[in-house]
Amino acid sequence: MNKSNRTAMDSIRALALRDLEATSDEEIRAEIIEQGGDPDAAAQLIRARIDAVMAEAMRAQTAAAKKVMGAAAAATPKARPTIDRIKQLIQEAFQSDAGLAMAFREGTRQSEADLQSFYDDLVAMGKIKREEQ
Amino acid sequence: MTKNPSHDPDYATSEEVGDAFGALTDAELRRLGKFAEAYIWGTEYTDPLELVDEAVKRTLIGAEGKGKGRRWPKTVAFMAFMVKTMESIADGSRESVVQKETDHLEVLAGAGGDSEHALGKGGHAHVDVVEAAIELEETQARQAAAKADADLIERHFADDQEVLAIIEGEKEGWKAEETRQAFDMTPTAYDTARRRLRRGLNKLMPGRTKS
Repeated sequence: MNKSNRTAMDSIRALALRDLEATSDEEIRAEIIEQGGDPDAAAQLIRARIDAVMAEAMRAQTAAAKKVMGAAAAATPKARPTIDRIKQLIQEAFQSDAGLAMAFREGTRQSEADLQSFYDDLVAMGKIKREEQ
Repeated sequence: MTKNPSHDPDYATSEEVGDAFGALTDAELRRLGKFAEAYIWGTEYTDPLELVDEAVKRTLIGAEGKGKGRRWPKTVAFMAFMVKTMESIADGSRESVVQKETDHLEVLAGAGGDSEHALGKGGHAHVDVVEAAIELEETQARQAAAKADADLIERHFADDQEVLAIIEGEKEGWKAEETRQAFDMTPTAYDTARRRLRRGLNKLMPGRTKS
């Protein structure tokens, strides 16, 4: 590496990226196993991180909306199924996506308003499809 | 996630972005993690997943139509958009706008001078200038870290002439075929050397978790 280190690092990165583009999904999976990792857990970890960032963004957005418009505006009615159905949908979402439980650790709230809010979050995250009563 | 009423229909809404994240397959998520591993070198991030986190944040902010976010044009495949977003964040971290803002300090200090000397020379005590000086020092520290990274990689591959050859070829701006001809390598030898390089990089990331 006789030239500037920036050029060296740019070159190394470019080569690594081109190799990655030429690497199949199966090869990536095999690589993780070869390195002693669990490919399913690796994917689940990233999914949980994405869900956590989205959940955090939604909580921040809700807090900002409440601050600006007041609690009444934030509580604007939306089309939702019954509370029993909401509970069922949330439970199904958790069962089909283990990472969600990590993203919503404080999702143990049980009031109707909290469940409705939680339901809205999961709809926004694409985890459940919106239903009406 | 609410819909932005003034939303440009060519770009995804928050809900569409949420759907796209939810639809990513396990294979795509693993690939995203691998791209983060490749991009992280020389950035302020110490864990590739921090880069993924940041890309998710920027995408969500962009969907809300806010300033520093990146908007997903729906004509672009979501994975390709996410990879480009990580690339942009990593490039930004390396290049740092701060560096441009503090260039004038380097001029003031002159060759071999430091920013503290430059501040004293100019009689500056304004907090912005002091902050700029600190940021300049940080930029220099980052450049030193990049050199350390390059040295680390060089040492790791010191006995692998094929890996060193493809790096040299890349630095020269040669195409793969030109590098192969210059170093008498077969296409397979070139490809496997490139694979060894990428996988070696993953092992070399100190204190960085692997996805």
